[in-house]
Amino acid sequence: MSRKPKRIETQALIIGAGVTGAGIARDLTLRGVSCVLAEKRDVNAGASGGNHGLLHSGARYVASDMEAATECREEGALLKRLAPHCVDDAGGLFVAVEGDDERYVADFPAMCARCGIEAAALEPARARELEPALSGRLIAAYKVPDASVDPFMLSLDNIADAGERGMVFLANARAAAFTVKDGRIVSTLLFDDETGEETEVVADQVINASGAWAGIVARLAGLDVDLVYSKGTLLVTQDRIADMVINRLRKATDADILVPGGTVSILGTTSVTVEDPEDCRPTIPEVDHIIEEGAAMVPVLETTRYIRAYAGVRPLFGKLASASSQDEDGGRGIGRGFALLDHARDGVVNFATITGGKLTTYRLMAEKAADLVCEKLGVAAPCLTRETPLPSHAGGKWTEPGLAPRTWLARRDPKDALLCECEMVSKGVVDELLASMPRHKSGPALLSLGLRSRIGKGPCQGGFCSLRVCAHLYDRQALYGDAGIEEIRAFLGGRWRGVSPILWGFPLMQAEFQEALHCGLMGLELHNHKSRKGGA
Amino acid sequence: MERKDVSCDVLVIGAGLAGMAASLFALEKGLVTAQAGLPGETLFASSVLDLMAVTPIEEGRLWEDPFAAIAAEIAQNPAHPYAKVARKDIEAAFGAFTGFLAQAGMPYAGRDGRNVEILTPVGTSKRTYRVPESMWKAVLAMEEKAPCLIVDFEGLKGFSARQIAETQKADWPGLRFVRLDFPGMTGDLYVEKMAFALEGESVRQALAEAVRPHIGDAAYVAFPAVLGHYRPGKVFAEMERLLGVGIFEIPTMPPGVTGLRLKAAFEEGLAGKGLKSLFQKLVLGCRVEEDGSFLFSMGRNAEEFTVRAKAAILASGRFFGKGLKAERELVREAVFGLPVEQPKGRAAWHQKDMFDQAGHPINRAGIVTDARLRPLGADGLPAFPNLYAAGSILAGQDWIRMKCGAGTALATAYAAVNDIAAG
Amino acid sequence: MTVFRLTLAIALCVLVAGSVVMAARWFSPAGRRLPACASAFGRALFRGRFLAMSRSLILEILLQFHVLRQSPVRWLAHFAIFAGFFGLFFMHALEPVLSRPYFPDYEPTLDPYQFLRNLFGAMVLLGAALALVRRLAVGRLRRISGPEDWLALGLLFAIILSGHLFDAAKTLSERSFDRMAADYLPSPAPEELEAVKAFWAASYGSVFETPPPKDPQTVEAGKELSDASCAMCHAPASSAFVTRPMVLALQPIAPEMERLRADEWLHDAHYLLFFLFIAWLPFSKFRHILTAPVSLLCRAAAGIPGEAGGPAAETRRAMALDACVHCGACSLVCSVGPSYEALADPAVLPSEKLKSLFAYWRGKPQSVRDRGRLAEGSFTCTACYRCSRICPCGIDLQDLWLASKRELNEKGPKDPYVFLRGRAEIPPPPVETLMRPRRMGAAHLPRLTGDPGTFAPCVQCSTCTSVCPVTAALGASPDDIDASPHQIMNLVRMGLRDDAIATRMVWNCVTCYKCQEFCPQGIKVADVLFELRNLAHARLRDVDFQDLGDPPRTDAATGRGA
Repeated sequence: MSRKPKRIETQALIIGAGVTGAGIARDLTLRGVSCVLAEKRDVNAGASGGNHGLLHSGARYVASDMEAATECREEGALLKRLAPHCVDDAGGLFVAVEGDDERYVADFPAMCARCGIEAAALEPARARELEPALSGRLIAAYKVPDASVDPFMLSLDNIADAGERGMVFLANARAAAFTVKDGRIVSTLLFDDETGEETEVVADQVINASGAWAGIVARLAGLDVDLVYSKGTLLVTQDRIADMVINRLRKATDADILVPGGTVSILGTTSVTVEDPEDCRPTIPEVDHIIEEGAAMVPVLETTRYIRAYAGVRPLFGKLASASSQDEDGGRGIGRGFALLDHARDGVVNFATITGGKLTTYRLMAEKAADLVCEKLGVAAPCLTRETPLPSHAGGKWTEPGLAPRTWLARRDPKDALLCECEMVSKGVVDELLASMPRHKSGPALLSLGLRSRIGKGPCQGGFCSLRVCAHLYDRQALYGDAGIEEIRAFLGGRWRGVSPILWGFPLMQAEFQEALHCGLMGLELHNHKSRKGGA
Repeated sequence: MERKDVSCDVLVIGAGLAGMAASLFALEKGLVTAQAGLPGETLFASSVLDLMAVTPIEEGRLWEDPFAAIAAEIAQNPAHPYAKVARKDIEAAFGAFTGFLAQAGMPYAGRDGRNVEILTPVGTSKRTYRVPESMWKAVLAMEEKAPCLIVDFEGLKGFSARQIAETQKADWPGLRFVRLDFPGMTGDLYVEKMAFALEGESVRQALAEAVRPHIGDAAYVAFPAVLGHYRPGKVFAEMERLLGVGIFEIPTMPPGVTGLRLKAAFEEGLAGKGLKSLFQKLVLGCRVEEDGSFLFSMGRNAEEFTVRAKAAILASGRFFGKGLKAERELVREAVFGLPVEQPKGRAAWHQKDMFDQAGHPINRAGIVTDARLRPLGADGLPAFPNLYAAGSILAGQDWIRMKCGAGTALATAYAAVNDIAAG
Repeated sequence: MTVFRLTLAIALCVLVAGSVVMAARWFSPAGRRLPACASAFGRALFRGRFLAMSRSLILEILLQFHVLRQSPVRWLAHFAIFAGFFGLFFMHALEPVLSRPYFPDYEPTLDPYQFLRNLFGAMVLLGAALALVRRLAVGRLRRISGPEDWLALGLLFAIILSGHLFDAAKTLSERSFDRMAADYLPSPAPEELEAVKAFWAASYGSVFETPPPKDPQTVEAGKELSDASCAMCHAPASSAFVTRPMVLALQPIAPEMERLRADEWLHDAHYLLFFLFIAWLPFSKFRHILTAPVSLLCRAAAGIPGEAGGPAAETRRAMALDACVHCGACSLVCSVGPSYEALADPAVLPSEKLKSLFAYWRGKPQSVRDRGRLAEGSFTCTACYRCSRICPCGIDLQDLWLASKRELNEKGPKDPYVFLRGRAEIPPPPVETLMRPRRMGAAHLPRLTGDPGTFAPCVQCSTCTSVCPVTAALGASPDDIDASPHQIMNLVRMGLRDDAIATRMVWNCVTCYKCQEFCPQGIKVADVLFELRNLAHARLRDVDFQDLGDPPRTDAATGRGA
């Protein structure tokens, strides 16, 4: 393995393959700008992967931030039109239960109207007909055009589309150092934490789209970006509890949104200020708090089986924070708008940071960032993402729940055995993904497959499928030596972050069964001393 | 439906390894024995019998002599159930248990006072005490690092011979692998169907025919554990004869044939010894009669009949076995509501890392007993004079990490039955 | 008349020949089967089955009480046809050999015989009408009814109707009157003839070219003359309650009928239709008149289930194929009948499977599709014996299925699932079910498959599949690859209920409940499979699969998910 860094020249380097970075990459390539997208781990590793997957109608922000509410309304409608395959246009309800602030309930329709958001009043009984899981203590309900969106499919499809126009995507490529000369970043050193491999990128423009890590990346250029880190924890149920998005009709606070995610529901979230963006483990007190709050709105949440918890760290831009409000509850008071910082003002002419914002408005953020880059590059081409539909791509499609089982049933190929039984992902899908995964990556294959499919997302949380997929990877000669042990350990370790806070009842039985398998029989806990050899 | 009320000396509650062992020992002592419970966990057994291999688990220290490991563990952790059973009783329990299984057509092998190592389906090695004869040559082959051929089958998921060979490559270069079509089957293979098929002579011959060209210099040929279901001994011997080299089995992912073999051996063998089997029935409630005996209400959902028992052995297992029930903040014992020693609060149940060397504290939770294995009530005294506990429900052990599951089950079942028979 | 005798002779020959061929089918090779049947019959008579057989003769064969228990409407229809037709047959058709020799006062136009003739005719007509309505009204019966069923009903109608029309035409006819008058009113005075005409026109409805006077005196005079000369052979018109309304209805066109000599050709038609019936009998469902009593007696002698093997059982099986009247009773009670609605394979239903089997066993050419259907129907059967118990003709259907399964296993086609494969497409699982699995609303949620709690305890151990005997029986064909029990549980858990329904496993579950018993987590696996079947049945009840044509071919390369 050569130690001499590989060298790539390009017009623009985008740091961070969250949904914003992916969006910028597509926007730029559509305008004919060449670019490289560098990601420290893998697609959507930060807040883009750690959220509800809610496509806001804007109604949630009508009281706190009219501008954000209006942006959400416009961008939500655009996304439903341009990327319908990523969106489940389920509609949403805002519901209030006994004891909720009745003044807020009364003001809600007018506030929605002010932002141009349709909100139709429903009798509580009618709302319960639509969503039988709703509490019997409902006092008000409004129907709004909320929807859910698959953030992984969104990012993967943006990246794939950009890739077809020549964009280069580098996973496991952490921005480790900038070489700054005369107020310009002349080159960027990317570092693979797994293999130690280095890549040097020489770019005319550098965009820092690393979300919660934006401050850390900016500091590499000697700049200061003032961010507040707000951790949000969410819970995944085993079943789809409700068809529609269900929001609590009150001033935005914890655990007041239940979003359908294909075959499951996602309940959240919390807002806890943390010191470090890496600190995004869901905790037991958060989980218990979410269940308690959620159950007031949808009582079955108290007893249903949960599959796992997960968390994301929202980057909230400090300048907006101070401008907006007092921060008494972990940053929720801070505006959810985004910030685009042109660091030319700070003395680095070809460097910009974009951070904050919401999943719903990712396209708008990408457009603004790309506008700035193009202006600096002297490219006159206009933004096309407002009109050009986002094509569906093989690399992204397998994140959709239910697609894998239906494809498998339709193929009826005796050789196409299911490797992941919970979500019914077959060998064929795994092979297809192996072929479509980026060449430049060297990270754990199981984790990458998990990110791009439903593998490990079902009730077994990797207990069985990790073994079956790993065996298959050996058969396909994608793994060598004893690398499989570390693959399984890393994959299960990752799932454990989400599973450990919900271990009571059935999930605890499942966990005990799996420990008996992985530790009792395989002795995987005793193999941590082995080093990784070989690999995909 | 007709009620069939039962009366017995001892009711064994639970149908896992500890329950089966308790029934066996009780029957051999001449006690009138009844047994209830769902045979769930036996189905998942790899059928190797651990005694003790790792202590302290924090250090991951592996032991060759299991009895020395037990002594070391007790010295450090007197709460371990082994502290309540003498070494000679542990040895006697293993002897009686494997003797019974040999009679039922499932002979075991091992070395007295020594742990042995076998291969697992991910290619790691597992240290254990007694293995079914069909896995014994794995021990020899591994010790010799002999040239060896691992066979796997197209369509058998989660078992890759290539993976095992690759994982062991550095230490054991003589491992080779080959993938074959299982005679007469395509698509998704299920181990129990394969095992059943191999009970037929023509399938065995076809398989031997397919394997033979690949043997080459191999001193041993390894198969996933599919060599027979009801008559594994015969299938194994026949295959060995047909191939002309030593063969051994590697356990598969659960549920495997190994568990089914154990279940079949138990159910037939114990019935032959006069067990009143109440499998598929659960204890729904319990009352103490004037003479001190238990009157259990039994059924699947509602009471179907009663069992009057002079004594009872609680071998209902942990969470997966449903002997323990975990609510969001508290673990309860499911049948008698006995106090459960446990870490306080869910946050203390598990480590942040799944593979944390120290193990998860919840796995040491369980029932605390007196020296005679009688569960203690809230007042620190035996909850009932004639109730015993055996197996993984006992506190103070982490059977998964210490590799002491079977040993604990056999030893405590043996000691409990002895105490009942003596009383 | 010779023409009729000749035709009758031919018809009788055909009847006899057909019956002999049929019997030969039953008993050949005679060397093996005849003695076996004789001894089986003897055994039955002398070993206590005599009572059962007598009981069957009276209650089942003559009174058909077993049909009454199944369906009063059906019994009414069948018994009316049965009693009416045989009444006419013995009294009217066998007039020269039975009625006249044994009943000296017999005259078809005298009461009670005229009344009885009309009564029997009415019974057949009403019974046939009722049968027709029933066949049209019961959905599954309508769908399985073929041309032969409609033709048989039509022939019955035609025979009886032509008889009554002939009767009516004769009454109306002046020529006929003249002929009779010439015989029984020798040289009457013109006014006497006029008076008799007046009376016949008034009370019987005869129509004359020159209408006779209608004044009461003339009619009264005609009555007296008629009483003297005609009444010995002609009862009053009122007892001909079927013919009478026809006469009145046809009066306006009587002259035209007279001109066309309607009475003569109606007479010919009536006879020829009846001869046709005789000749067709051994080749149509009418043969049950001969076979059903034999078959019922056999059932009474052998019991249910009967003997499985041996030459006597073979004879019974051969007989069974000829005894079926395609009444559809078995198909209405069939345990797996609901799967017909989903598979659209008629051979799932016993009555249709029997037809298919008839063709298979008699070596008639069958398309691959038909063979596949026969196999599917045969292997979908769960051996519940309901069809054997209900069969009004005493056919031991279950025994046939067991025999056919054995034979299909040996000779093929063994793959019973060809059509389910294709039917997975019907109805196409709507995309909405994926994203909105529970859009149906709370009231319509199925008990188990709609409740998230059903699958909450599942730890994905797949024990249900390990112990499943159906999964174990799968062959090696690519068409066999389908979802196993644990995979169906996962499909339903994910809300893909429609996709689950379209899998073969759901329809092949033999409800042995091993999965449910072995499940360590107490999940009601078998109950879920059963509920899926019921859901499909409820949803597909009104789909007429015959309209959908051939199922689409499954193409492994282009899945419907693509």
